[in-house]
Formats: sequence, structure tokens, C-alpha cells
Amino acid sequence: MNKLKGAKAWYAGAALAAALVMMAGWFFLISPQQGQAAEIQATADAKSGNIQSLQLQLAKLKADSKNLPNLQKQAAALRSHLPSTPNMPALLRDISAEATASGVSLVGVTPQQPTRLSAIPNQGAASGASSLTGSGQVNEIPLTIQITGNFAQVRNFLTDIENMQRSILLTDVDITRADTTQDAPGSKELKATLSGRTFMANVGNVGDPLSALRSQISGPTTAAAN
Amino acid sequence: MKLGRKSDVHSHAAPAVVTLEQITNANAAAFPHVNLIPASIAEEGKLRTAKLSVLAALAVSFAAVFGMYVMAQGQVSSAQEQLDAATARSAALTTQLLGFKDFQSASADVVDAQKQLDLAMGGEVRWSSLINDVSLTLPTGTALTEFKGSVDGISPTIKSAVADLTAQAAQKAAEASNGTANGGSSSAAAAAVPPIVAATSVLGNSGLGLITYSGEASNYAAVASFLDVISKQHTMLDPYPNNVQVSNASSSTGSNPGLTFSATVTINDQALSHRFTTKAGS
Repeated sequence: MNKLKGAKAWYAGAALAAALVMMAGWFFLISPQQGQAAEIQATADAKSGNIQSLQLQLAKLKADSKNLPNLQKQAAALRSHLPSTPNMPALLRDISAEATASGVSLVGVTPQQPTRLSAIPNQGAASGASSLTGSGQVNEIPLTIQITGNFAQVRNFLTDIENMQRSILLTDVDITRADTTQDAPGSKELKATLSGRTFMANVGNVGDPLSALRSQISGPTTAAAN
Repeated sequence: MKLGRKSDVHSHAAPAVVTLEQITNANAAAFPHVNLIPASIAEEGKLRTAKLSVLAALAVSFAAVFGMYVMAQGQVSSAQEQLDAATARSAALTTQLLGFKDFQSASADVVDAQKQLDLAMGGEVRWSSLINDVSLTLPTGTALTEFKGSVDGISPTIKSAVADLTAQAAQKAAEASNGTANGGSSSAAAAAVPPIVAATSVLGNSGLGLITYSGEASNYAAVASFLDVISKQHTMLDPYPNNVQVSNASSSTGSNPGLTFSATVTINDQALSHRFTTKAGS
């Protein structure tokens, strides 16, 4: 009778042992393998998605690359508006040539020291206010031009300055009739003082020009959230 | 197989055929079945069978685990092959893309330069157009002695971004006043956004800058006409006379004594040249 009970116990043990082996096999051998397979498969799927993106990019580049010479010309033209150095000799030559062409007398050109673009607030906090070397950074050179001439000449000079290849942004224009200052009574001579800025820009990505200001705004939020 | 046997060879009756099976059945019915194996031995047999079943169960389960493991290994190998193929393809495509480095570089350069130009020159106002417009529309009996204009020159891109940041800072300040945020931090945030001082007209409308005209006129009607003309220009906003007074000096308008006047006008956004503005999405 005891042996019969023992046999039943052996059968139960057999079932238990089989279950244990299956479970151990599942958890220690099969499941990790399946997990690894799923992980590799996911990576492969992601790569496949990336491949599709690359293929599209490649197809577009193949089509667009025919336009490379034009694009290079366009880049060079844009860069000529904002050279990477002050290039003051060329600027003086250009302004003088425009004055001659429009017939005004060029009384004076007063450039100041290059600085970071003043139109962007708080950018000095990012990498030192005096640094002009950041990638993609735009710097300005404040400039004052004084001329004399009649109305048509002054207007033509203004037009020429605005259309110069090297960009000059005029922010202040003061045109005065010369006879009001007793310089040339009765004449139609005008004196003009043009103030503004020309620029130089480093090659590279501009990024977010307001990043310093933005971090000042968002910084306290993060701190408060934490 | 049935074996036929004559039961009585000497009998003259019809011969009866008895099969071996019938005999065996008859014997089985006749004799009681007796199991002579001792119970202990039978139980031991069963116990042995049970023990063997453990071994069999273990063997089967090991085999099953091994089989599934092999299948899982197969899945891993298959996935790895796919990954290797994808990696190789990706590397090949990347190599091909590198062949277009010049084009990508030129494209990026154009985009960067356009952004830089937008930042630098986006706030451009063409003064030549403004003074030309004034000269062409100057009413009879008026002459300008001074044209003095000033604009901030700040790109609309920057103005728009700063306006967004100002709104954020204001929101933070409002939250601080409601006690939902750190008050010190919010006031610091609000202070971080410097106001972009736009020119404001006498009626409180904001613009890019101001122009002050000084001139001479033969009479008050001429000054009024001048203001009318200025107000009709689409780039100007809210012209306003600063002073109009009799001048004893001889004037270029031919009248003596004439009037001297000055007026201020605000330059609005329509005066922007937009020559260097980067279009959204371009």
C-alpha cells in the first residue's frame, strides 16, 4: 500500500520535475533568447526605417545635386553681404566709389570697433560679451558716413549704399539744407549724416540667437519645477 | 488459425469440428484466474514504472526545452542577420551620402547665410524710397530744411522671438503673483527680457522709428497740406506738427515773412524692405 502511495508520489514528482525543467528552461534559456531576438529585431526594424529615410534623402540629393554650381554661387553671393572679416579696405573703396558715382562729396567715414550684434538682447551672457568668434555669430561694425551734395545726389548715394554688395543697414539719416547752417547761403547743397552698421559673420550655424535670453527665462522654471 | 480435428473418427454421425479457441475459452471459463505474483512484487513493479516515468518526464521536458531553445536561437540568428544586412545597407547609403558632401555643405551654407542676413538686415528700411516719396509729394508752398529719421533696425524675427519670451516672462510673473511659482525666479525671468523700445506715435501706435521733418511753408494751409500728404503715405503713421511759427528770415518758398514748421511721423512696419527676410519654411 505504501509502495502504491510512493508510486503516486513518483508520478507527481515526475510532473513537478517536468514542470520545473520547463519553467527553468523558459526563464533561463528560452525567454532571454527571445528577448534578445526581439531586441535585435527592433534594432533591425529601426535601421530599416532609417534606411528608407536615407534612401529618400539620397534620391533627393541626387536630383538636387545638379543644382550644385548655382547653390555655390548663391552661397558666395550671400557671404559677400556678410564677410567673415571686417574687410575695411574694401568697404572704404566701395563707399568712395559709390560717392563718386552718385556725385556727392564724401566728407567722412567713421567706423567703430566691431561688436556682437546689438539687436540681439542679452547675448553677451552666452559666451562673453566681447567674443566675436562664435560659430555662425553675426557681428556688427557701427559706421557713420558724412556727405554733401544736392538732393538728387544724396538720394542716389543712399540708393547705392542700400544696394551695395556688402550690406550696410542705415538706422539714422539726418539730411540738412546747408544754408540753414550758414555754410552756403542760398544754395541747394545738402549735408547728410548717415549712421548705421555694417556686418561680419562667421561661417557656421547661427543656432538660436536668443538662446542666452531663453535660458534665463526657462532656467527659473526648471529650478522651480525641481 | 483454426485447427480442425475429428472428435470421433469412428462415429458415423455427422462429424463435429471444435476449434482450439473454443477449447481455450472453455478452459478459461472452467478455471478461475489466479495471479500468483506476490502483491509486494507487483507494487515494486509499479513503483519501478513510476520511477521510470520521472526519467521519461525529465527527458521529454529537457528535449522540449532544448527544442524551444534551438528555435529561439534560430530567431536570434535570423534577427541578427537582418540587423547585419540593415547595418551594411545603412553604411553603404551613408557612404553614398558622403559623396554629396559638397552639395550638403553648400545647402547648409546658404541656409546659414540667409539666417545671418535676416538677423543683420531684416530690419532694413530703404531711406532712399522714403525721401523720394516725400520729395515727389511735397505740396506747393513748402520746402524741407531738415529730414531726420531713425529706426531701430531690429529684425522682425528677433522682435517676434523677444515678444514670445516677454509673454512667457509675463506669464511666469503672473503665476508668481498667484503663488504657483517661485516669486524671486519669476521676477528675475521678467527682468531678463529687455524691452525692445519701439517708436510710439502721439496716438500710442508703435512703429519702427520716427522721422522729424523741419521746413518752411508759405502759409498754414501749406503746412496742413504737407501733413495730409504725409498721412497718405502707407509707410507713415500719425503725422503730428511739433510747431508752426512765423519766421522773419527770407524763406525759400518765396514768401516773406513765411512760416517755419516741424512735424514728426512714425514709420510703420510697411516701410521694411523685406529684402533679406527668410520666408517661413524656406
